[in-house]
Amino acid sequence: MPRLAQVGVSPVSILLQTVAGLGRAGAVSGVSLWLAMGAIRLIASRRGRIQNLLWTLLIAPCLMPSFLTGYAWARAILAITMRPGWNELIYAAALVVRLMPVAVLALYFLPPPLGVEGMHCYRLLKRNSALASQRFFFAGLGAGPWIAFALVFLLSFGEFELAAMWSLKTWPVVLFDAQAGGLALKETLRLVAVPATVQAVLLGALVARGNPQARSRAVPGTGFKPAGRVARCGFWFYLVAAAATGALCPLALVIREALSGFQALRGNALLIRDIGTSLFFATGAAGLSWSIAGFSKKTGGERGSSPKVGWLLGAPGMLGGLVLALLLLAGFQTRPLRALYDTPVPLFVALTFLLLPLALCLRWLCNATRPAPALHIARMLKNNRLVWHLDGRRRWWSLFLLFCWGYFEFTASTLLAPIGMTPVIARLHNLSHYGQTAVLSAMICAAVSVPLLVLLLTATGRGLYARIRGQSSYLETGSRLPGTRQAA
Amino acid sequence: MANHPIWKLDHVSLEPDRLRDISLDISNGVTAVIGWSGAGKTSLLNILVGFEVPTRGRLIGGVENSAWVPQNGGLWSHSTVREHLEIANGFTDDVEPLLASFDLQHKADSRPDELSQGEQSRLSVARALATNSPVLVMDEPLVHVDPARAAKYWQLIREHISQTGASLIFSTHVPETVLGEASQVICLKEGTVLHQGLVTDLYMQPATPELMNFLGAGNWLEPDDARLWLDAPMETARCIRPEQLLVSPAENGGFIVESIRSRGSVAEAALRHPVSGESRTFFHRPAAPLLFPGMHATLRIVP
Repeated sequence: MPRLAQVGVSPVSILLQTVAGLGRAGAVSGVSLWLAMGAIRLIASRRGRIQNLLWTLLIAPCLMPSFLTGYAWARAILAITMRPGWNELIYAAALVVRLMPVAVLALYFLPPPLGVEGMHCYRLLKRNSALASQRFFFAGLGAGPWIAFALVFLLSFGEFELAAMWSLKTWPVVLFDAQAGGLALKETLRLVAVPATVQAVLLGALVARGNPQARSRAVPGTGFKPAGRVARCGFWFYLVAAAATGALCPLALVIREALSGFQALRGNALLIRDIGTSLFFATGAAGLSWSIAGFSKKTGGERGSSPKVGWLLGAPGMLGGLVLALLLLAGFQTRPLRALYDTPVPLFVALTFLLLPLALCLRWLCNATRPAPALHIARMLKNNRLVWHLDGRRRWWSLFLLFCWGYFEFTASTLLAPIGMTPVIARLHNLSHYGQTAVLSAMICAAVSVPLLVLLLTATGRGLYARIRGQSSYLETGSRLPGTRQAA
Repeated sequence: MANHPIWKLDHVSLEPDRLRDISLDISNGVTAVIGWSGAGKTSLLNILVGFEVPTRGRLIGGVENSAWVPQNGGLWSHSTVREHLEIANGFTDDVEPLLASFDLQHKADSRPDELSQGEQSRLSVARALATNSPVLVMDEPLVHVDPARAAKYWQLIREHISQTGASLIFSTHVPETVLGEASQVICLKEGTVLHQGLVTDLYMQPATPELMNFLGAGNWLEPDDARLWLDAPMETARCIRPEQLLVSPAENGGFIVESIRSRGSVAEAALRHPVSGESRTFFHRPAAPLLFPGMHATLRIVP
């Protein structure tokens, strides 16, 4: 049957699911943008520890692996799936909680070219028509809101894991199930053409709005009018609630469930092997994508990444794990690449492409927010600790973020992993179909704690290395940092 | 021109501790707001243009359409230089003369991001003038313009004011700008008003050494100081400005020059009184013939 995939017992129209996905993504993006425009006014008006706390609350739901969030809430969600509309509403709300931070970040780093002072100067004129004023202020918003909207739209449109965990039949879930259920790849590719076209159109629009002329050169985080008292309270409440429901509660729920299951993990060689596989793929893909992003920056010259090269490299990854994995699956079944089909190469390639948009963004952010004169002085002083503090630290966090993204990537991992090399996320996802159990929760805890362990180990190693290198540099320069002991 | 208040501030405060219980009248004409960094100059101007609202107290008066030059220029990054001026004057006048006056013709089609800081400062002032508003509020205007050329643009502001009858209130750190451009002055310190009045009064008869320093170098002399250094009676402490003081080399002069430093129109000399052994630095008119350390000198007030 054309344009239909057999899922369970009822045929589901991909076209209809695409339309539904568009509607959902539109609503999620609209609400996220509205919330983000308020939240950014709160965050930008605060400094120091308060601002750090706000950032932490904001980012927490976004950084929580969606598999964990979906798994933790699955029982509660499945209890209300019988009520039509409710699960859809909760899913949309969860997407807002998870993706709104992306919109805030886009707004923060692409601030409006028309600052609050400029806006007030215009208002003082009082001689332009309402229409002219509207047009003026609209143009003054810059590219930030558009890019924020489009990013959230793309991410929510292609979201897979929450929907799969909560048994929602969105287009990625339907297509993934169809492919995993044995549908011919050719047919799956034909079905994926509709949503992929939508994504491609969106990407095109994003590229058009993301051109250098449309970019604001204002300092990140500036140009936002501070929020009023009522709005401030409202957004504090939202951020606390979002962090609780999107990060803290899921974590607490899974840990509570896992307490009685840790015993069963002893000697679970399969889990250790799967974690090792994930580490292997995530480390490799993170390093490769970071290097490619760096290479694209070099080709872009002094001013940073070339937009064309950047978009070109980032576009495949922005299509999402499912579309990319299906395309690569088809690619590696062609004659020239068939020899590589059942090797780690396809998954490496997929993960690298999937991480590239984030790697490019992080590279760009590292460069855009780097305090160049201070860094230059630190290098002149040959003070490694300062160089690390001003520059190295953010690169290291970027790499770690990429590693986590790769570690928790599910769709491509499931579709492209070679036999005998199953990434842990794929294994856990498969096991989750049997419901929540103490052992599975313990396995999830173990899998999630590995990136934290990596973080701890690398931080300790780097700290030791820096101490040795740093102390020698202080001796050379005779300089001394506050809190460090002067060598005798 | 008869003075009438444009704004009246009634016990105005702005949290956190930016302005503290300020009450004053700001009249038409040219008023300068002066004070050290963090004194509250920007906060005061922000309230006058409605950019910020007082936490306590009332702002009475104001005009329908004032023009504002914010500290950061407040330029419209999505508009070209020419568009700034056209939007400001409502597309009614030819903006070319204004562009030429502020030396922005060659940048007419550039956006603010493509301008130097000095050009941005000039554009911000030019935009304010283009509005033809009856009141101009400028927060450290032309601050990034090189001093050699700033005088030219101040001249343009003066001409605009004399042609249109507009009032100007501006903030600055530079005493010379206050002396050259303003008739009224408001001195701020830590969010409070230390002084308000005529510039000439503050210059010639400041009430305290602190107020004296707002308008540049001066010599604050107590009656005892006057007796010792000028050999002249003085009933109360007063300020002697550098141009009122002459230090001249003289073989039988009562003081010994310890060090000298030229500041262009003003000179700074450290003198020692050999009898009492006291030393003090004086700001004075540059002496002719020149002074050198070790010389004997006399000190006197010139009319």
